[in-house]
Amino acid sequence: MHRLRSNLLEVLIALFLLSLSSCGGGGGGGSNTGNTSVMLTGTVTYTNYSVNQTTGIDYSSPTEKPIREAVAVLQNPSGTVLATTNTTQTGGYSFSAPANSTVRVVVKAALGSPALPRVTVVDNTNGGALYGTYFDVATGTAALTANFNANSGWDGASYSGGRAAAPFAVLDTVYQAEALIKSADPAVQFPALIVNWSKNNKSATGDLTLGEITTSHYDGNGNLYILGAENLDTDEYDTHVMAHEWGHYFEDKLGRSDNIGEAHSPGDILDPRVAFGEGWGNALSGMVFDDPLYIDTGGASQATVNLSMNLDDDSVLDSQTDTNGSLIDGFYSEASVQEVLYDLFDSGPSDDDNLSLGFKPIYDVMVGGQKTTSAYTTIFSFLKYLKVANPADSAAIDALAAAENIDSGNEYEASSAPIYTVVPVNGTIVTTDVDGFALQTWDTYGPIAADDPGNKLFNWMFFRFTISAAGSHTIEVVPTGGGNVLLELNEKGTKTEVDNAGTGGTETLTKSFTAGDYVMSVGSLGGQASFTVRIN
Amino acid sequence: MLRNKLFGMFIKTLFFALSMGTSVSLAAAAKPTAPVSIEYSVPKNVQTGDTVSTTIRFVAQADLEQLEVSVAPYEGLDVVSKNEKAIFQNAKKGEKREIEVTIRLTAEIGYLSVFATTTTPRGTSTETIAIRYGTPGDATKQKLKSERLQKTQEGENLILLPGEKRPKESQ
Repeated sequence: MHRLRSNLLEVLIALFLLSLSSCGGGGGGGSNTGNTSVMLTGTVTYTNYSVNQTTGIDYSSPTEKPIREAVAVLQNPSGTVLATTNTTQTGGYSFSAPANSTVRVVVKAALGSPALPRVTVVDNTNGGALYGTYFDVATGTAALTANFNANSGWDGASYSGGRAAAPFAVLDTVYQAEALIKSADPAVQFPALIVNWSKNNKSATGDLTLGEITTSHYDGNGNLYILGAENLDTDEYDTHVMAHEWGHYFEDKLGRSDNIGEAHSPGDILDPRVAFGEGWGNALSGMVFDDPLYIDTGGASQATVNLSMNLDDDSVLDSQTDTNGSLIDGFYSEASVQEVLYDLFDSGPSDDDNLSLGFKPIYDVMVGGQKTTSAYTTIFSFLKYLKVANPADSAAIDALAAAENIDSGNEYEASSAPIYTVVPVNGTIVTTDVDGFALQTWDTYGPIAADDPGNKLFNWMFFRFTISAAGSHTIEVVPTGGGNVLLELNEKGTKTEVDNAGTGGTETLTKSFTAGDYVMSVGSLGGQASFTVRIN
Repeated sequence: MLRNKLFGMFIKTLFFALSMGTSVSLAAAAKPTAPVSIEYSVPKNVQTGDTVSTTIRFVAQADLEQLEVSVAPYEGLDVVSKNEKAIFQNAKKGEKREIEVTIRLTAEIGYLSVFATTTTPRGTSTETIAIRYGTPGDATKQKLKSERLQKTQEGENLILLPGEKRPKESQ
């Protein structure tokens, strides 16, 4: 008995030492029959498709891309978490797993800390459940490799299988967009982002929990909603669309956006705040992928190209006008804004301009002067602070903008075409705009509806004023023709909206101001409205 | 100064499109789309088996050389009317074109796909919407619920889809 005990003790010590060696050494494929744990490594990928201007999503050439830096979890058969990690930049993972056991590797559609991810891709039609993919592995006593792929579910004609790849395609665009930002600011901290994607997300308007998200959009509150309804409109593989929406998140959380949103198209004559925000989203999508070709697919079998544009192209003839005779190019055009921004960024053989600033100067303005300007965030404020930071390129920047019919000026407007009416802070009743017209909102470039003041140029009229000494002041907007007016005060991005008085009523805002420059805008509901403005 | 340069181009005239029906609009920042808005109005209490006609109006947001519209059942309904497609030429900004579509609801709720493809000097682009008929209830919620949904021991809701094994050599 004594000898048996002694032998058993020796065996246990040997096994323990072997176990230590295995855990610390990362395996190597040897056969160590006494191990209690083994190294489990592998690579996890997702099925990706490119898009093109001919076939929409190109299902003929799938590739398997690594799931980069996603949260990975090792579970035992009962679901207990044994370890957590993040995949590598090449989709690799590594766990010390129990030997002679069945374990599950779960990779979540999430970036950041496993305990508290900063980016999650969830299903808004299933209570916000997080997506993941998994693979069960039977371990032995030797290190082993288990590679697996999240499939798209595409069978050649339809998505008949589970669409495991889609959330990871969405996640990878976020990863790529973050990488661009990190290239300019390695210390950047990204605020939380929830990406709501579902195969039920369709272009119907109504209940988000039913997938009725209207279209892919950023909700202004840390949530992206992305279309996924087959044969209608899907955006998980429309990388530029995804990056465009992420650009709105970036502006909101790391920069500043005065964009009032709503529907828009590249030929619209937009409120300049919208033109900048949407042009920024489009341009950023090209910068993220260093590819100016923006393609949005949809329709039956995702074979329709809903929208395609080359961000590097001068897409509008300089003389082209709209119905009213207005030039399409200008500070109010998202196409003009995107072309200026992308031209500032791009370089290389395909570059069609003389400036190649790269991304950092653009980023620095977006989180700097564009964030703190007293003006509304438009192409004018952006260009102002870009030139301040890059004086040697100032003339070239002006020339680039002028090619898009955007004249130089200050952070508010072009010197040749001011759009703000200055309001004195002395009780003077202002009755005319900067052009001498009686003050009113205009539906020249887009309608003003009963429930929607619109997002086209002059739907909202811009005003600026200067407070010379801190104190309480009152802003009054008085309708003069029985209309329903709205007031929005903007204090370097902090917005105060006033819509209390209803049709025919005076909108009033009294508050304490510090000394400085301020902007505000006046819109209306139910059609054009004439009004006066006074600040006491 | 604005007028000196832009008056004549920036003529502030009445926009001649009037709001009709249920306008589809966004309050959030969204992706760019085709220069056409789509308006419709649907009765609230459409029941399974009901047949409903809807006038769908397409409002040009730019001067359109051509507007091609089509509808198709997405799910939960049949299109009863015969004309599922129409092509209109030369729709000026603000002008409307319309089609009437008749559907029969075959489930608790159903969706009609609507596609509007515009041609302008800038090129061709398509706006897509889905129109819902019916009122969502238990059947709708049950249908949406993923069979892959599970709750972890930590209380996290996950939708897990299986991965497919890949050989070592492929990596």
